Amino acid sequence: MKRALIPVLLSALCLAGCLKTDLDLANRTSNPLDPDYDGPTLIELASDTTRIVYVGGIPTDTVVEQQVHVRTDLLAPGTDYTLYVTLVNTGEIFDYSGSGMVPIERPYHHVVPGVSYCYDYQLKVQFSLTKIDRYCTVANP
Amino acid sequence: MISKNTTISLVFYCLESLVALFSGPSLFAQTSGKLRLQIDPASGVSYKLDHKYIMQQPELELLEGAHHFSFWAPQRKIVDTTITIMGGAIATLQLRLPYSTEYLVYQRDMKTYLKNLSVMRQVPSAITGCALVFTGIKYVNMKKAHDRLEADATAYDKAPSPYAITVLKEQTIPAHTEEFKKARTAFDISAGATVLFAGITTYLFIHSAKAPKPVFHDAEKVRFDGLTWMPDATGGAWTGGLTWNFTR
Repeated sequence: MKRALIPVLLSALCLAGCLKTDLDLANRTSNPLDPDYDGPTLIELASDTTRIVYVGGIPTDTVVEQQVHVRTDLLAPGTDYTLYVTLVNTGEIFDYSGSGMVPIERPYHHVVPGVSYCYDYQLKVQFSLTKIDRYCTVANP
Repeated sequence: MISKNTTISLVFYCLESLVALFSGPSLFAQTSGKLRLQIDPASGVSYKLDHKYIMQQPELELLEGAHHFSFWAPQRKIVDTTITIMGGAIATLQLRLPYSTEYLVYQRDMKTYLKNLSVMRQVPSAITGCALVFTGIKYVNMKKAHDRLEADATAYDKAPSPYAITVLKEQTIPAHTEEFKKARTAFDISAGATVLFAGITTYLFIHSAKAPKPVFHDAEKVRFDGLTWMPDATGGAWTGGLTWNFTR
C-alpha cells in the first residue's frame, strides 16, 4: 500500500508543479497593437524641421514639420492600418481612416520660435488605436 | 513332572474346548451387527470406540451389545454416546456434531478482528481512494483552466486589433486567471487532503498489522487425543484432556 501511494503522490505533486507557472497575462505588453505596448517603437520619427514658407520670395509662414516611419515589420503580416495623428498643441486630430480627404501634410503653422510642438502618432486598426508615440520639435527657424 | 490333579485339569480343559468347537454358535458365539455412521461434518470425523480404538471408517461391524462412541471432528465438540448393536441388523446413526465453545469464541474473536481490520484498512483506503479521484477531477479542472489561459496567451500574441487586446486584458484574461486560481486552490486543498488521508491510511495499515490475530486452539481435540504437545510461537505446552463418561 505504502509503495503504491508514493508514486501516486509524487506524480500528483509533479503534475501540480507543471501548472504552477503563473502566466501573468494581464501584464503582457509585447504585442505592438497593445495600447500598453513597450517594445521597439512602432512609429519612428524619421526627421523634423522648422521651415520658413516663402510666397513670391516673401516669407509668409514658419512651420514645424515631422516625418515618421511605421515599422510594419513589427506588425503581423497583412495587418491593415491607418495613421491617426493628434496635434497636441492645438488639439487637432487627423484620422486618415475617414472617408473625407485628409491632407498628407499637417504642419504646425505660424510657430513661435523656441516653443515645443508635439505630435501624437497612433495606428488605427479595426477602429481602435494603438499606443501613442509622441514626438516634439522645438521651433527653431 | 506332572501331578495327577494337574493332568485331570488339562484333560477337562481339552474336553471343554472340543465341546465348544463342535457344538456350534448356539452355545458360545456372539452375532454381530453393522453400524453405518452419517455424521455432520461429512469429513474429518474421528471416533473412539469403547474408549480404545480411534477410527474414521463410516461403516463398521460390531458384536451385538452396547458400545461406547466418542465422536469428534475439527472445530466440533466431542459427543459421547452408547449404541446397542443388534445381532444381524444394520443400524444407521445420524449425528450432527455441534461446534465447540472454543471455536465459537474463536469465530466471534475472528469476526471482531476482521471487522476491526476492515475498519482500519478498507475504510481509510476507500476514503483515500475517493480523495484521490476527487483530486484527479480537480486536477483536470485546473488543467482546463490553465489551458484556457494558454489559449489567451496565444490570442494575445495574435490579436488583430488594439480593441481585441483591451477586451482580452481587461475582461477575458482576468476572468480566466480567477478561474485558474480557484481551480488551483481547490486542487491544492484536495491534494493536501489526499496526502493526509494517505498518511492516516499508512499509519492504520502499520498499526493494524501489529494487532494479534486470533488463533484457534482446538481444546476438544486435546480432550479427544489425550495428552498432547502443543507447540506455538513462544515455545509449547503439554496439554492433557480427561474424559469421564458419567452414563457408565
